Amino acid sequence: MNRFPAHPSMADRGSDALLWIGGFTCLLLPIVLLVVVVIRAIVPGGIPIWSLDVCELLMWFPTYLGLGMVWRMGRHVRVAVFVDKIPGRARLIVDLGILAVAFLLSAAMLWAGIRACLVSWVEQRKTYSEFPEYYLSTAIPIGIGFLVYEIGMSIRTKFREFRERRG
Amino acid sequence: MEWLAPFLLGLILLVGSIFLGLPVGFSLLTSGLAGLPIWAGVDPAFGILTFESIYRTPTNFMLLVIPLFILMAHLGLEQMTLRGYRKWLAAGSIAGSGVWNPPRRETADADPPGRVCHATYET
Repeated sequence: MNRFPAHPSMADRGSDALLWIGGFTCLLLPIVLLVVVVIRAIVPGGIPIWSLDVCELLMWFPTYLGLGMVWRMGRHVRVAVFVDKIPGRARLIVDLGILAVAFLLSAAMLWAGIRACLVSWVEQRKTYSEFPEYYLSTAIPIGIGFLVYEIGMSIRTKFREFRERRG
Repeated sequence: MEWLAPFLLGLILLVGSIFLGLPVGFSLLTSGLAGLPIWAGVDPAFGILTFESIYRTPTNFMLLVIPLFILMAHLGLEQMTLRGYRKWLAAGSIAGSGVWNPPRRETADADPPGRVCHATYET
């Protein structure tokens, strides 16, 4: 299922960039948290309470933005002990079935993510400390959208392999 | 006993899809999507999927420790922690009884600490 294209398209580069943004946020969050906790310990009320809300909401970035690229790298955790023992063409068919199921599930997630994001924008959702969360919720459909794209590309690659073996 | 049918269906789907090689996250989603509509109805199930699972769960305050753990691993603090655990366990009976006896990591090419469950990653 791994797919590292020799000539990456814009979408391929997009997945890569999103992984970098998600990873950067993931490493930035501990520093932000540390600063927030230290300032609040030294000067109570020295930093507004919405700073914690931002930290919570930024968790959407590392959760969703790297999904597509991580799929391309083949790093979604799976148990392949039994599947590896299936020989030849049957293995390809099983792989295609797995990819089809993953594609359908990620499409359902994309639909749910778009719906959640739209509702958040329409209702102008804010946290308890009045921080607007709808801006950051845009990361949800973008990340899942790239996952759907990557799974679609994996299916295309697998189909080509299947046809070559058949021919 | 109305919980038994969704429970069994979810369990069979979860174990079956994991053993068939579906990524674990998708397997959990499969069992949830199959069990929740039977348990709670279609609309509440999709409501849970949309707002609880996708929108609210990642922003849970408790999950904020995950980036802290990742930073800790990047700084190499996990080696120090593992050495500490090994010393404690060597003093007690657990390591001696063979229940938990992790490989020593004095050399650079020893097993990484994350490989505990031996699930196969596709590489």
